[in-house]
Amino acid sequence: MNQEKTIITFHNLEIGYTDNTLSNPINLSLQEGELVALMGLNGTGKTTLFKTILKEQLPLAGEIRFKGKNLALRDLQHSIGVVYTERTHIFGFTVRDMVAMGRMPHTNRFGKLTEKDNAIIDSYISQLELYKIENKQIDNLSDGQFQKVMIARALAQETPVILLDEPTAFLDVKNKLIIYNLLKKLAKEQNKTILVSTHHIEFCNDYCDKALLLKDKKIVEKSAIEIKSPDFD
Amino acid sequence: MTISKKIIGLLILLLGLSFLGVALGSVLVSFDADNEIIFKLRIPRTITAIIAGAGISVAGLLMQTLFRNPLAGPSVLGISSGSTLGVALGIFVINTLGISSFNEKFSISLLAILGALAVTFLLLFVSKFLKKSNTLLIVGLMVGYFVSSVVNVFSFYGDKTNLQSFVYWGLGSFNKEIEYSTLWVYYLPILVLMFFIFLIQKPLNLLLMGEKYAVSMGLNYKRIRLIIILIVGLLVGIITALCGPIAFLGIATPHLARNFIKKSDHRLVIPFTLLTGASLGLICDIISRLPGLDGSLPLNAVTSFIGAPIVVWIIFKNKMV
Repeated sequence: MNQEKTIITFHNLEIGYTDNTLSNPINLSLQEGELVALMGLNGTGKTTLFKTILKEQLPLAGEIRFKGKNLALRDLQHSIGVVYTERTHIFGFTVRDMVAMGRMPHTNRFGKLTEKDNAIIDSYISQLELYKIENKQIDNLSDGQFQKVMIARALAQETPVILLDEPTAFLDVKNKLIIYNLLKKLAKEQNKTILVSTHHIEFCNDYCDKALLLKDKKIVEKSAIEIKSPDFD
Repeated sequence: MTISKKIIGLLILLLGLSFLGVALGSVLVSFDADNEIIFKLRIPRTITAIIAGAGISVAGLLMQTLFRNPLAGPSVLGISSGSTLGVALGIFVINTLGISSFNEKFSISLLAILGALAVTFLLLFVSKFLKKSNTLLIVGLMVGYFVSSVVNVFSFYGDKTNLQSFVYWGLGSFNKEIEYSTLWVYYLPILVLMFFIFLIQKPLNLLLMGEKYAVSMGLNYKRIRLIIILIVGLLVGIITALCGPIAFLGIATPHLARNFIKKSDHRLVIPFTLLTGASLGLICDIISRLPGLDGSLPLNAVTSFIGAPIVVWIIFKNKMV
């Protein structure tokens, strides 16, 4: 099922801010079904790259193509799902309500969930082992539980590409492994392209197909098993 | 208690309060078909309390969702002050300069709406430069003070008759001795705006997630922000033009509604906020003209008496101290 088809292309892409360029022109691509680790020390531009892909900020130069085309902002919802590191506080949302938010791009004007939507929500609640806390208020969750819920929400959005910004930063070992295995399974079985910003070398070595390294204003593509140390030399 | 039982309970409460609103007053009257006190005073006053209470409350809900801040509301953010400035301009400047207009009341109402919209847009502009939404509340308070100082200058130079009518308007009241045909000019746009709010319940839910997540899930953030600002500005402007500034209902009611149903889903919170706001509007109106009181208490004295403790409770509940 894993076909080598390009889904995202960085074409002469330069990211950063007008007074602080974070990268020289980047030319590389991500394929369907790839699990990719985005690695680099703090401040090297991992989050800025995410922001640029998600159109939160414009590239300084060059462009990002999605399946060969420029992605319009309104098409993001069906193309790229995202999980951020920081926590969102919402009163009165249960775990199920939050996972259901992932289905909003697929619902009608009033956000009404269909049987199919509910089946997809059930599926990801089960896959991430959230069924025991399904009806718990999200404000009462630990950081780790919350992060799992946000991942389930992104998965329920059913986009071909998912970006995760340090998704396991608050998770214990058991929950880290659940997430890693699920991400690998989604990439291989559902042909999803998953770009994960991480500092976790073992995750990169054992689960990812390749790594993108940000260092000295360059992004270098490497085989995942080549990464051996935190400073990526 | 299920959601449907809660909504039925609120409807029964609203019906009972409406009956009390018509029956109670500084004088006890009989329900005769030709009783002018009931048909020309109490029924329009009761309808105004329901519509204005619901409208100002749902405007508060929209502000809290847009700014993702539990303390946002028309009075706290200075939007009501913007309306007050519009009315002050209308009463003092237009009257003093003797500028003729086709209808003085409508000119003043229009200025109230423009004042509310101006402050809301100003807040929107400022919010782009602020990282913490709590800072926006402080800016809103400052806008309120600034506008009040301008209004004070107008009041100082205004003549006594204008000053008296402005002060009376500022106390707030649901009792508008206006013909039904004129009242509908206020009621109808408020009801239309409330209807529009039901059409944006999905974007409002997405906004709860924060701007970044909302945009990634398809929300056109700039458009929905503009729609919300327009709805809030118009609602607050029209209601303030009709009843005067109404303190605290806008900020307190959405919290009562959310805590009652333990949900933030706007498909539920909007109807519950409308019903709770209408009921609170009636309760405040009934208290303000209980039998035995000589005339009516100022509406704002009553809404503040009820609303201020609720706001303090919100601050403690959200550990904002």
